[in-house]
Amino acid sequence: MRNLLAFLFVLLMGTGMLAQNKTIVFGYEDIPQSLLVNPAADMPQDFHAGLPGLSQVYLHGGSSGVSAFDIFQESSVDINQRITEAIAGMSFRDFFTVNQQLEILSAGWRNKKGDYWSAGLYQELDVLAYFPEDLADLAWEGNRNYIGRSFDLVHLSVTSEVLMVYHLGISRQLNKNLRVAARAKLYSNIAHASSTGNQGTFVTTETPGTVNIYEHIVTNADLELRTSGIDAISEAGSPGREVAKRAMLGGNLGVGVDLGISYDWNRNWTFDASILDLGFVYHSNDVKRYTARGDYVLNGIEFIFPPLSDGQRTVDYYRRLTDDLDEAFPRDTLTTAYLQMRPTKVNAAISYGFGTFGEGEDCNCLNKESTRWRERLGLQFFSVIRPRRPHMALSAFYYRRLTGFLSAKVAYTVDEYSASNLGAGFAADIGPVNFYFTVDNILRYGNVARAKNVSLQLGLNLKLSSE
Amino acid sequence: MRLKALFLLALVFCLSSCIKDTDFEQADQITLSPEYELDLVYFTVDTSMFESSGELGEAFKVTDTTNVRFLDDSFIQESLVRAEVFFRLTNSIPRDFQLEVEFMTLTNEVQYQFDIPIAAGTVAAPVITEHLEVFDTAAELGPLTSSSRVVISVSSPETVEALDGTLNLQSKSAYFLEY
Repeated sequence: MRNLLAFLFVLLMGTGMLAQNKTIVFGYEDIPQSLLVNPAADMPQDFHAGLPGLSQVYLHGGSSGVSAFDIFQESSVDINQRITEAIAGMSFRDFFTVNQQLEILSAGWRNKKGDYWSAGLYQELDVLAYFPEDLADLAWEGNRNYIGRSFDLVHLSVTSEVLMVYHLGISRQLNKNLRVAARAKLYSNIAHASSTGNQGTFVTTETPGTVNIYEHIVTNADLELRTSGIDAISEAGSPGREVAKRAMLGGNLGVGVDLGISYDWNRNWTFDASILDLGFVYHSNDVKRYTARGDYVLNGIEFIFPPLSDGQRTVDYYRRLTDDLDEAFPRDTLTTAYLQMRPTKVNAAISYGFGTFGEGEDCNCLNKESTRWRERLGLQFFSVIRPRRPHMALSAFYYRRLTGFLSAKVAYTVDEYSASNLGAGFAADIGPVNFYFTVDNILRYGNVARAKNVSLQLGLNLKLSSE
Repeated sequence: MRLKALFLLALVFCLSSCIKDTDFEQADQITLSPEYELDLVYFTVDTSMFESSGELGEAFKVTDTTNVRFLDDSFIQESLVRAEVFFRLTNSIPRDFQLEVEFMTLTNEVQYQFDIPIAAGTVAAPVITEHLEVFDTAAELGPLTSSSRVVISVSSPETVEALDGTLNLQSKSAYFLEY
C-alpha cells in the first residue's frame, strides 16, 4: 500500500491539470503539430514531415488538489499527518491525471488546389482518477469515528486507456476570411479500464431498538469495472507482440473526427476554434466487465442456540453470512461489448494580430493574403469532457516572431484550481528543420515538486515550401 | 549551429528544473492506521432454552459458536495493533448468570478466554451489564489472531426452569490497524 501511494503521488503530482490542454501549441502555426490541436491551423509551408518517433513527445500529468511538495516536503511534521491534512483538504471534485502522446509518423502536404492534407499516427495514454473522498476517508481512518456518516460510492470514478490513433485531415481555405478543416480518426485501442457512474452508499448506524449495536447498511450499490485488452496482454506469451498487434488495428476499434475553423473578422481580428476527438471506441474484443449490485444490512451474527445431539454439527453462521452477502451482491463477470466515448476537447481563441515585420516594409504583416502578423495577442478557451463534468481553462497569450527563423509564445492560464500557470514555447525553422519546445507552469520549474501542473512538448520536423 | 544551440537551450531548461526541499524516501514512513468497528454476535434467550449439564455440576447452560475466519488472516496478524470487544447484556431473568467467551482455533484449542458475570434482573426492571475486553499487547493480540472461532456460553449454577424473562446480548468489535 505504501508503495502504491508513493507511486501515485510521484507519478501524478509531480508533473498539468487539464490533460491535453496544449495552450501553447494551439494556434501556433509555426509548429506543424498545431494541426492536431486545430486542423484548420494555417500552415505556412507546403510540405512537412515529422521525424519518426520524435516529431511530438508530449507529457502531462497533475493533480488539482495537492502537490508532491505538500506530501513529501522536508518537515518536522510527520508525513502521515500531512497526508491526513491533504485528504481533509481535497474533495471528490479533485482529480489526478496523466496524459502522454508520442507521434510515430506524421506528414502534411499542400495539393494543387491549395488544400493542406495531413496524416499520421500517434500513441496516446490517458488516465484520469477522481479523488474518491469518502472511500479515502474510509480507507485512511476507518468507520470508527464516522458512525452515522454515509460513504458515497459515486466517488469512485477512474478511467484509463492506451491507444494508437491513425488520422487523415484536410484544411481548406473556403474564402479570403474562412478556413475550415476536418480530420478523420481511426482509434486502435490497446487497453482500456474504467469505473465510472458507480452508485450506492455505505453507512454504519447506531440506532436504539435494533437487534444489535450497529447496522452496517449498503444501499443501492451498483458498481462496474469495464476492461478490455488487459487480460489479452497480461496472459500473452509475448506481451510486446500482443500490444503491437492491438496497436495495429488488432484490438478494439473506434472512429472519431476533429473539426476546425479559422475566421478572420478583419485584417487584425481572428477567431479560431476546434473540437477534437468527437468519437468513440467500440470494445468487443477481450472484454471483461466486473459488476456488483445490491442492498444489504449487516447486524452481525445471531446465535440461535440450536439443541444439538451428540456428534451433530453446529450451525455454520459464518458460511451463512458470506452466502447471504454473495446473494445480496451478485457479482458477475460479463463479456458483452460496450461503447466508450473519447474525451472530447474544445479549443477556441480570439486574437488580435499586429506589428510590422521589418523596417521600411509597406506591409505590416508577413503575408497579406493570410494575415500572418508578426505579433498576436489573444484569449484562449479550453474544455475537455470528463466523466463528471467538463474541465475548463482560460488563457491569455502573446505570440511574437522574434527573427526570421525563431518565434515564441507565452500564455497565462487560469482555471478553477490555479491562477498562476505561465506557459511558454518557441519554434525555430533552421533551413528545412523545424524544432519546437513548449512547457507549462514555468513559474514552478524552480521546484517542480511544488507544481500541481506541469507539461512538456517538443518535436522535430522537416518543412518545405515550393517558393 | 542554431539548431544545436536551441536544443541545448531546451535541454538546459529541462535540466534546470529541479525538485527541492523534498524527501521521497519518506514514502517508507507512510502508515495507514484505520480503525474499524463491526458488529459481532447477538442473541436473546429465555429459560426454556437452557439445558441441564451434569458435567458442570448441575449447571444450566446454553452454548453456541461461530467461525470468525478473518481473525487469523495473515494481513490481520501483521496489521492489528489493538482490538476491543464490547458486550452489552440485558437480563430480565431473576437469576445471576455467567457469560463465558472463548476464542479458539478451528481444532478447538482455546487461545483466549474471559468471563463476564451477569447480574439478575426482572421483567419490570432489566439489568444491563456492559463489558469491554481490550487486546493491546502482543500477549493478548497473539492468541486473538491465532483464533478463527468464538464460543459463547451462558450458564447458571442454579435452575432457571419456569422463570420469566429473557437474556439479551449485543456485541461489537473494534480493530485498530497499522500497515
